[in-house]
Amino acid sequence: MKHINKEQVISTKSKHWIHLWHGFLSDKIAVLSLLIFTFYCLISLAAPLIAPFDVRDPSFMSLENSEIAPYWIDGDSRFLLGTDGQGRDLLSVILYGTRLSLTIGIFAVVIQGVLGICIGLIAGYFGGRLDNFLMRCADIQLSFSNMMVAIIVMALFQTVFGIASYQHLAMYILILVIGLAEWPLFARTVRASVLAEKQKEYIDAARIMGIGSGRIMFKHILPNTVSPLLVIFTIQIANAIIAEAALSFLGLGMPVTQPSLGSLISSGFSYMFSGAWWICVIPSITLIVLILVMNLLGDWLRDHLNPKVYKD
Amino acid sequence: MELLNVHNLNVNFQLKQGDLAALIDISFSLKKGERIAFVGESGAGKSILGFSIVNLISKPGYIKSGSIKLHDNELSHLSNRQMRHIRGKRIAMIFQDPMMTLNPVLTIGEQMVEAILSHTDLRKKEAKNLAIEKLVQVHIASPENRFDQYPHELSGGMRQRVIIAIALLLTPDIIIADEPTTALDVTIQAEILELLKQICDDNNVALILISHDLGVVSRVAERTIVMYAGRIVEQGPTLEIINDPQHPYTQGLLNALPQMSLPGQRLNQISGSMPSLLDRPSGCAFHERCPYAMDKCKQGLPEFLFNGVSHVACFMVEDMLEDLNNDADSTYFDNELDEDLDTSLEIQPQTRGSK
Amino acid sequence: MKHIPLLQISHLEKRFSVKEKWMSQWSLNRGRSYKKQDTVYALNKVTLTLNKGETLCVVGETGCGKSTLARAVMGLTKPDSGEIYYGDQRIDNLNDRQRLIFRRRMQMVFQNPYASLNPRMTVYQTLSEPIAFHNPQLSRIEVDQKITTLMESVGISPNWVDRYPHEFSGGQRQRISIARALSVEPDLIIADEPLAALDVSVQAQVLNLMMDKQEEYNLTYLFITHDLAVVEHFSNRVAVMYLGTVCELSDTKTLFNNPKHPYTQALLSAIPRLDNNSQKPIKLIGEVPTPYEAIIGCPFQARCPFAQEKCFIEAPKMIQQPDGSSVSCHAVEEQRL
Repeated sequence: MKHINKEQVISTKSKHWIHLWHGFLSDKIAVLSLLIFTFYCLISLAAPLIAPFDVRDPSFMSLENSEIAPYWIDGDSRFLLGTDGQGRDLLSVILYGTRLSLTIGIFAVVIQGVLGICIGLIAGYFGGRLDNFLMRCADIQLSFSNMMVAIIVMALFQTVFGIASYQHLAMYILILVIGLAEWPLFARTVRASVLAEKQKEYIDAARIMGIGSGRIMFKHILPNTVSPLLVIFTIQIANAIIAEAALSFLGLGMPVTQPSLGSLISSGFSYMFSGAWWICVIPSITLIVLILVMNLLGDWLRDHLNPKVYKD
Repeated sequence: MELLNVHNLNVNFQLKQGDLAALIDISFSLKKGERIAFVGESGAGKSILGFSIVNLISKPGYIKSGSIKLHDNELSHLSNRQMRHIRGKRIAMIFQDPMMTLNPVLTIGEQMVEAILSHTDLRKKEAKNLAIEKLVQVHIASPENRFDQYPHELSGGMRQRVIIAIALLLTPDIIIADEPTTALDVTIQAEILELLKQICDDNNVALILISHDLGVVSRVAERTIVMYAGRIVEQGPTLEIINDPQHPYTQGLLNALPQMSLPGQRLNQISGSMPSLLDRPSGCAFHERCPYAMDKCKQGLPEFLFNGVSHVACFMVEDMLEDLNNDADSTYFDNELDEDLDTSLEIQPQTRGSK
Repeated sequence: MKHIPLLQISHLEKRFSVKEKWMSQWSLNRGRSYKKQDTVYALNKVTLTLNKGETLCVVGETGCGKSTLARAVMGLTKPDSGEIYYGDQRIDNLNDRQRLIFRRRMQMVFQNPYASLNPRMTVYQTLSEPIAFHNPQLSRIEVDQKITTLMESVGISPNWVDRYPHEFSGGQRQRISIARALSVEPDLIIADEPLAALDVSVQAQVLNLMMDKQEEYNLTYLFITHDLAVVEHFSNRVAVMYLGTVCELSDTKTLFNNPKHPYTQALLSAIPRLDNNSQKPIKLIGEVPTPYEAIIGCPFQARCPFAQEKCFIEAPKMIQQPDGSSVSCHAVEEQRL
């Protein structure tokens, strides 16, 4: 029976998404944002292929090329966007930096999401003491500034294991720290949706069928909380990238040898007043556009998927 | 004298799928102190009608054509400000959910006094006395205490009484009650219905009751109008409609009630369900569910015919009346008319219906 | 018909505490903190027996505990005291795993067809989940076949198997709910106001379907409703509930011809009927109170026109009447009525 009506299936199943897609196409800002975001994703995926220089190559850094202004000022066709203080090609560094920032952002949010969703589901579904305990944990976590937690962890790690091993593991630690710091946002949203869904009779129906709690939580409740999650997901990626940039700017993020957008801005900052403004400004613009685009996408999703989600 | 006269009212909804008709050619009139009821299932358009009369239909909906006359004053063109005056003073509304009308952060008294002050020149003291007087009228015990309570402190039935009292504040000519008892328990429902009926009698207020429950309607209304898919299909005295329904839809609705079949037997169901605005069938909208559907039901629209008692829009009834006229040379029909003279005089023949 | 008891409920009690936050339970009064807890007494010593193959209707107004009764029987809420037997097995104290075999035998149909189906699951998913769960030995094709026959039997075209609930009307959703309940081949179906959200003409369709299925599978129904017209048509026996107690239990015919409890009389007189408009409904005093305290005496005392001193002191017992009905009322007992 299932095979006969496959065409019909597709048409009915995707109706909601087609509707959403048409709404999307009619919103120029949203389309532009998505295009820019895909562009960012593509260049960061293809960074090793399109970058004019290989960042890992030891000869990449040469002080004789340092502080060359961008092509349109200096006319040096080797370095389109100029070079930084260590003589690295800024275009290549930005490409790799974007790749690194996006990776950290996405994976940190995945950690946040998995943690937050599980905790939120458990707290909302079982309720009672467990709910109270988990939500108070979330409150405590939120009452620490994320930045503070990150600074403490990073500083501790650097002193305990030494700078060398830190540089080696910096990316993973950043992902972990940013990921662990912001799970309560997900947990709260999921819990709120779970509490609303739990009241509905289809959950009772599933319980009457004898279906286990785990299956009810993940198979019955979770799909009904997807729309608010999607919105938080986009906006949180932007937030995670900012957090990483801020940490790097403070010198607690990525090491100079593997620059992310944040550490590029940081290292460029000291050249600001010596005339080499591009080292700081170009990565900054790259970062600002990326964050702006993510926020615009998130806002659009919020308006169209679920207007009632709280505004953060 | 006719108090309210609605003539060929068309209400449309401007949606993405097009300009869809929600109400089509609605015509009826209401006399002073008369109680009429609109009956139909969800999707019949009866609530939209209630909102249209007071010009309260919101955005995608609009009045396309037709006239609504109150005391010979046209309402459908009035501005929002002029309409607000009418809504408060001349026409009052009661909704299914009392919390839709009551503001949860103001006491009952504050809301009642505010309503009086905004429409009259009374002073605060006088307004309070008037409000308490109305609370007494709806049989609320210790009205002085209730006056200072918040809506959430009252039970469902009590809230609905307060709503009725608010509706009565400015002595309106018409009360529109949209499913006023659906959210209430059976015993409370009976009391509220009695109250509504009595209040309308005492104050000579006309009542438009909107309900899906024929039992409720039969308790309150003198005249019943049955709606299906945005059209009136039958209207006449309530007793006649219940005892001798003409339109197949009315018959189906009545026969589907459990008390119409023997215990343990299957109920007489109407197959299918009410069509939505999007896929309203051609011709008579009921033909897909009608057990007597003929070919012409699919194409043409039946006219309203007056059979001496009620107005019906159905080809089958049309044919039957024609046969009767031809066969019996209208002698039978005259007798019938004489018998029902009292009732038929009471219902003013509808301008459109008798055409 | 031989009466074989299928479900026995005895002295079932359930209380709910209203304040759920532990912080707000503590409040200060004249400098001393004390713990306050509002308790609602939802069920008070309810005793009912459901015989195989019959339809027992539980009637009452909002807050009389009829839905709580259904949920307690289904194991969705744990009763505070009392016993529930299915056949000769006690089921109220089982854990989820032990209860599993009884899940197949008892099913439930809910009130709101818009909330009782998961909006993100197709009809196929909704129906296949319980079938595959309770019959793990079935192959995919057998499950599909079962779903097809099931859908046909409730009057939904099997071509619509991959549609989502929002594409169906209220009546069709209620049919799917019934199909889901039937999918595990139960003996007992508890229906909690299954018609309340439906239109009159659709109510008839669903009620007919339920009667057809009862005949076909020899089902037992515990039918919870506030609509007495449906009760009169559909049930074999009626239990009238008020404030968590059963106040009258009798055959449908006896109840409608000769209601004994003053509350039943008021309830019957209040049905909006088409034929007897002359009869004025019996007016009760006030409205159904919320039972914050354990009731002393008869639960109906506050609204009863026949209440006497005894009704405020002593709780009436269920007493068998000559015509087979049981009534719990002092006035009936003393033949004051």
